[in-house]
Amino acid sequence: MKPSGNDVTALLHAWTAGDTDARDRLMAVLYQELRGRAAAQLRRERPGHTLQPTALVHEAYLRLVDQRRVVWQNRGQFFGVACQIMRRILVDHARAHRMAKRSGQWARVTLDEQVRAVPPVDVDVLDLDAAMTRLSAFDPRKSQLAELRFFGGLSLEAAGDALGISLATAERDWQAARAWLLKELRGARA
Amino acid sequence: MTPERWRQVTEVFHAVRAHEAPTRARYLDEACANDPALRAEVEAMLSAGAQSARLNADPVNMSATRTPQLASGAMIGPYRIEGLIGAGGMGEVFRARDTKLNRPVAIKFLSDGLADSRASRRFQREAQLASSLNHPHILTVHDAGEFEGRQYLVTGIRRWRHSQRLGARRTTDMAPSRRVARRGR
Repeated sequence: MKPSGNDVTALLHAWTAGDTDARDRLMAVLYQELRGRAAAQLRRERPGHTLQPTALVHEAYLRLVDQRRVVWQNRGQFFGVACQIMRRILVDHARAHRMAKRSGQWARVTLDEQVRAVPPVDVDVLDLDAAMTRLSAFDPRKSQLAELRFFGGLSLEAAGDALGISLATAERDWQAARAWLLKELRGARA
Repeated sequence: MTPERWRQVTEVFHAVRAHEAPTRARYLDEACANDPALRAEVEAMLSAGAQSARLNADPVNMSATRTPQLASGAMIGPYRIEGLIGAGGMGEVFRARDTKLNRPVAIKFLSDGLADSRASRRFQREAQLASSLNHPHILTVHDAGEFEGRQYLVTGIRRWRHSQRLGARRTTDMAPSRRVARRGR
């Protein structure tokens, strides 16, 4: 059965109410949804175009979640799961193209910025994933924040909401997480 | 890194950031007096963070460029890659030198995303068509082959640039040979 928007909303509600099964089912639904959309984009892909995982995540939210029926926790839950899944999809994709990793194809991601004044930072998605995993070992919250920011494109405010931390804390966390990850990635590239 | 050590690192990191540039060094000297490793870690973070200080949104976008990352100097048969000329929907074009005949050439790669049989048939047809036409204004196809599973076409470079200029208003995703074929009609 094709899951409808209501299903996802209902799963979010059930999860909020403490149903851990609902979280697993939500993951399955979102995984299928996001992987399907990403695969479709990758097939159509042309050089010069970019797959925008963050756009996929947001589209999925708008399409699958009944906005009138969600509470703020649901939004955080949804993005937490969706960003985790998106990260896995990109990592799986990069792994499947491991050979290409050496030739630079498809394993690279661009840490893009809204302002085009500086060139985007080009990183290997597997390196980024590995660095985030290392970060999560000693600071899971900052690693989660990075996941929401990098793979979901969430604003600091939204990411802070999702994690239940203040904007000021999110800002501090982000500065440290970002600097550490970039430092690690620079090492990986050298 | 232990959580305790990380707490120490972030504490110094944030404190240094709060300092104005002139007092930063002094602060670091004091804060990391007997701990050069701590200083190195914080300095590496500061420099990595500053390098992309304007990266505030940082969403990950997967680059769709399927350029086979042929670095200058890479050899494809007798051709030495000199640089990327352009990329379009059909593939990428590299400037190269034919080391046997010591002449500049253009090597066009078919996008591997398009490397299904239909696109590759079209690519080959283009190659045949272009090579069967012999006219001063028509692109000369010197060679065709496969490299790391991707098909390529070797053409004269001046002609390619010429046709690229003619087609500059259009996208570069049209194979030069196709443009030429159109003109040849």
